[in-house]
Amino acid sequence: MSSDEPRKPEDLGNQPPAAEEARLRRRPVRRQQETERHPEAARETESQRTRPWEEPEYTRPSHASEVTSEPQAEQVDAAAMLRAERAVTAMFLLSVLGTALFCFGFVFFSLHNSNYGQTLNLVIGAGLTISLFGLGAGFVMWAKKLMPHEDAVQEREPMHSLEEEELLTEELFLKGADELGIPRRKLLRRTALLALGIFPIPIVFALRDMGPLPGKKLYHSGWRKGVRLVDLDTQQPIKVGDLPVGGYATVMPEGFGSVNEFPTGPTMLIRLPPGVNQPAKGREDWAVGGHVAYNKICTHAGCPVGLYEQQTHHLLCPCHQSTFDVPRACKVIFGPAGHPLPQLPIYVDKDGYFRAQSDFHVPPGPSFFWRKSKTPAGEQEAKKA
Amino acid sequence: MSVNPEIATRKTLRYVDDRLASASFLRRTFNKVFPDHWSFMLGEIALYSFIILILTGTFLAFFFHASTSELVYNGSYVPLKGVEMSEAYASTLHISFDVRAGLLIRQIHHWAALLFVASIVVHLCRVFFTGAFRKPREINWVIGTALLTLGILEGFAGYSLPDDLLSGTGIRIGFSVLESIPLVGEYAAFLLFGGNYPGQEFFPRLFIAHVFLLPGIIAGLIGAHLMILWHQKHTDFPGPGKTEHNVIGSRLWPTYALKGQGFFFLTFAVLAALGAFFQINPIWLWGPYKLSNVSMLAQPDWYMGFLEGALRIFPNLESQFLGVTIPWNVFLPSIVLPGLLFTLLGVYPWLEKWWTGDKGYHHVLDRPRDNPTRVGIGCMALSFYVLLFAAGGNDAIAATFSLSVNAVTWFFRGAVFIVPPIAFYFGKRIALGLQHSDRELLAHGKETGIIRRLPSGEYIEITTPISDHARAVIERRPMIEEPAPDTGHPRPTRGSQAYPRGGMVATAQRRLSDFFVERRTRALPPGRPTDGNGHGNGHGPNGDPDAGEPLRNPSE
Repeated sequence: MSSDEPRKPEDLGNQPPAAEEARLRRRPVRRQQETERHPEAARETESQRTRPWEEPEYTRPSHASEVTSEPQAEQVDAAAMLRAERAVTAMFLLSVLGTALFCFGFVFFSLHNSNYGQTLNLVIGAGLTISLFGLGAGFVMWAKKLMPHEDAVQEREPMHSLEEEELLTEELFLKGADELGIPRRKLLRRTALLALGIFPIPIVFALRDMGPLPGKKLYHSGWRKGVRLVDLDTQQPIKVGDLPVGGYATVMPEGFGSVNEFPTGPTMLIRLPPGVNQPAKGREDWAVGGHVAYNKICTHAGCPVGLYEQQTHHLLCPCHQSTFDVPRACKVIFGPAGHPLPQLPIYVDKDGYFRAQSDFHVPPGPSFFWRKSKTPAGEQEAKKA
Repeated sequence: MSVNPEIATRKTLRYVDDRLASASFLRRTFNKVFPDHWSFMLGEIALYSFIILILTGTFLAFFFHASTSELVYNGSYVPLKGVEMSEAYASTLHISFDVRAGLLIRQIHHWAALLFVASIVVHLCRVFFTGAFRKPREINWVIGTALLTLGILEGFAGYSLPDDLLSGTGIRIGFSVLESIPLVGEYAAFLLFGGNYPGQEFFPRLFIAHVFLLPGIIAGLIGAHLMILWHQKHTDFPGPGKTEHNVIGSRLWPTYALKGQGFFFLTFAVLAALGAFFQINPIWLWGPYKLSNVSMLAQPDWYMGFLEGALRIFPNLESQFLGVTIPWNVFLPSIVLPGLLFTLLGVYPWLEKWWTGDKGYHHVLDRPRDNPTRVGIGCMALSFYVLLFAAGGNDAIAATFSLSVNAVTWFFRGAVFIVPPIAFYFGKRIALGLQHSDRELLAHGKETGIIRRLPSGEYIEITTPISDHARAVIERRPMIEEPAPDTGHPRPTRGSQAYPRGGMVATAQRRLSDFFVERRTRALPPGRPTDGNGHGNGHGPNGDPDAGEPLRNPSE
């Protein structure tokens, strides 16, 4: 602490405790009450307690507190009070009925019936509602109609302490810090900060097994050269002629097992009418007789691009309305997606089954920071070319 | 044997006091005064919703299995018999169809979650527009902001757990959002999900976050929120006898305790009615989640709507350079935007303090009109929020009104920039107009609609003086020039040196201050005569110029 600190009241700390306590006295009323109570605090057993309320001359003190309350001079209408009391009673009885309805609902209605227990749900729900409503309305009406309206006034205490108390606390804290020597012992301070600062680093190592590193996982969709296209639901391989013109199917690589293993595997095989497809440069042989295959996972936020508009040949993502133009390499023509859906190059084998020429050439799915523009398959192709 | 209830009560209280010396504390607690106003119960609704969430959530946790292991459904819901699905989805079906009161409790839980976040938002609006966040309540404002954020996260976690088609889509989007974070995104996503999406690890983690981690933090913050509220005492609207130094209302015991208890039951009753009569999230209709499937018109719960809208209308920006990709189209609307919005919300008390220079204590609330610029800012923020929310349903709007979804999206892209400034202007004007009408009331009294003809042939309208309550409310309007309430002892404020000349920051502050403060209606001079009928008062050539237009910034 610097020596020119003007506010440091050395004298405060050296005063006798009683004086200090007097100085700290914040709520005189309460202090006084505590001292009045003090003799009682000395009693040791409960049997030594007096029971003043049993004395004949005992009168209840008017509520001793910081709160002042002036009950408003209202005309107490006895008949109205009686009506209110009856109304509150009726509410509580209503609640009893509701509780009964809840219980008996299970007796008279089954969970297992033709409408899957919907009736039971309605009955017990109504019972619970009535039961709770009766309780709630009863309590609120009791408070509003049967209690005298009062305007109790309570003083606010200032939301800060007396300055002496603030100073004393500051001094106490700073004195402790001074005793620790934090300002003085530079080396100690710095090494302590260093040790505390690097202390959390092991958490990173400890949490390392939360999951594997991404590695190349985001680049592989499960498709590879020569694998047949099978329908996702039936798992049957798809042949030329299975799809009508304008038809489409969601396909996976044959033998995929669970779709959860290949989250970017789902692919749309779409049969465009003849002459509609305008293949991009270098992709002339990726389609077979109007059949094109594009990844189904939206490049925006990963929803399946599930809506195919037959008339316009657009693929629409129902989550955020990204729209892809299928005949023009699934270019983004509307919505928030940042790049086209990757195309799967396909061919037809001698038996007429669709097969993949390779994996996708660009990484399928949404973008991420370290995303390379080509998958391993794409790089291979680029080398060949 | 009869028990005298009075003696029994005294004995109990003494038993406790002999061990905890609690009498003085209890007396102060019983005597605590709460001001009465309907809008002070909005926060209570949030508190009660949270309690109901804990109660119903515990029940649901008895039966829910947070696992994505695949199984074949064999419960009593026939349409899904034999369908492969995750254990999580199957156990949610079990709760809905095979557990007594399961569906009711599940629906109450979902409704309570919606109400929890909704009541926080409405409570926040009340606190904002009445200036209840001002000194000394800034800390509670920040805690409230944190509670709103956590409430939204908690709701999203719960909504995702049933693993139905809708909620699974939400998690998929969540994974993509994590992926979009520069530098660490894909690593964060893989660590959190235990590998590539969907993974086996994520559901147990989501479950423990939903039932332990988040509710634990929320409960702790609610505790702190209430303890601070308790300690600082509630704010109150202006009224007769109300000052910065007192609270007027009813005491905790017995009136307020009774009312509060009743209000809890009524809140519960409303939620029970919703759970009984209004179906919510019928997951058996959506079907189990399959990552290759999606449904039309997919919408999240309402509190995620503004993020969904931001994702939908954000342009398709994506940068690729130096071998890295930054998906602005996901990162900005779903990470940066909410981060910015909640940060601005959290620091608002200090922003306002900065541009008003008002460092004083405020226990008496503003009426919204008392601070027109704040009303404008609030309207601006709310209109932005509501537009994003509506944009989250652009497909539903397009389908309902047979519009092009592209046109609707373009409308929202423009509207989020154009509408908020307009909302600011109108909010501020309306507040100023209300101030103006208050002045009229004070000067002329209430109009009765009765026209009287004087013997001289002159017509006047009869007016009646306004009530003492209304007068006290209007006359109390705080002026920024008014010295801060006496705080007991001098405290270090920037005072006269608040706005030193020169320096860019000081200039900016001065300009903002002018913008924020100047356009207020001047308070009426005290003791102004009001003759009740407005005759010759502000009318005619000898009218009082003071009763006319609000004071304006001369530069305008």
